[in-house]
Amino acid sequence: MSFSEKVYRFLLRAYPRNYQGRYAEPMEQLFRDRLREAHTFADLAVLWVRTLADWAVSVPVRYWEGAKPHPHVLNFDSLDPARRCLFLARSEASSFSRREIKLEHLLLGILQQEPNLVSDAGAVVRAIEANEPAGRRIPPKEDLRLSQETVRVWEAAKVIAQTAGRQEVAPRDLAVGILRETDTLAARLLREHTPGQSQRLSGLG
Amino acid sequence: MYSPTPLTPAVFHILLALSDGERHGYGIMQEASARTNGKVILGPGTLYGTINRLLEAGLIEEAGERSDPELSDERRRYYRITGKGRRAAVTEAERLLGLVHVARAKHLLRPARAV
Repeated sequence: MSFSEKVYRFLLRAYPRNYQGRYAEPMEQLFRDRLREAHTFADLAVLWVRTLADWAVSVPVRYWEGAKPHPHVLNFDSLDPARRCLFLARSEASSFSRREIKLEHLLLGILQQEPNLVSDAGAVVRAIEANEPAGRRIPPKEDLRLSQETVRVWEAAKVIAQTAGRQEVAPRDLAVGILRETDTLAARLLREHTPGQSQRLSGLG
Repeated sequence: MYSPTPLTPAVFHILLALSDGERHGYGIMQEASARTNGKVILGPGTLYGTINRLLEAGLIEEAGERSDPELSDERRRYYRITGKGRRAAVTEAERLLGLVHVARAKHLLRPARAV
């Protein structure tokens, strides 16, 4: 190990411990790669000036990121599974530039929580993405409304959970609700990608 | 939640680098440097700090570890862009294109030549 590598390894200790655990090795590897490109003393000097500037800026930023409250993440963790699906559905609708959370967005949210609900989650995601326009993202502070179908599915899922004697609505209950909206793309995709299961899912309701 | 529009230059460079395939950290840095004639060189702290934020926001994902046949035989962590990341990159590219149109309209830039 060269002297420069030893110094850089020492500098990495300044980063937060959990960050070091995840990224110290690839960062050291990247520094080593760049060191290999430095053939002259001038190259080495430029590399060190840039590396020290990068270090001086990024170390405090990593601590600040670790210390600042992250309300969305905290809220997300405290949500029940069905509301997590809705939270994720809102994010999906927003990323498609929609002002309404439709069943397809809800299905994407459900699959993020329970990807094994369907046989091929990737195919479902691709089919939904193919039907959505890419556009400007709506900032999270703006409210998105639920579509009428999404409201019906939400209410149906609550009834399904209550009938089953559960207080908490499960993502699976939402999926059953979607299956009842038979003419929608989300219901069709669920039927197509839950071979032999869609009837069982419906039976749960 | 991390708001991807407008994107910071580091975020946009990383998404651009990953838009045509999986890359490891050094590959991302090389791509950004080559595309900007060496004007943008992402240091390790900036690069992996941004990668960390992009992973948390679901704009990129890890694509496993393997060695790069063109480099040493060290194993490297690869990253790939997600559908959400691609949409964010397209949105940002369109936003920048809109600004270029404004700059042209104000005669700050020459009109684009027909190819």
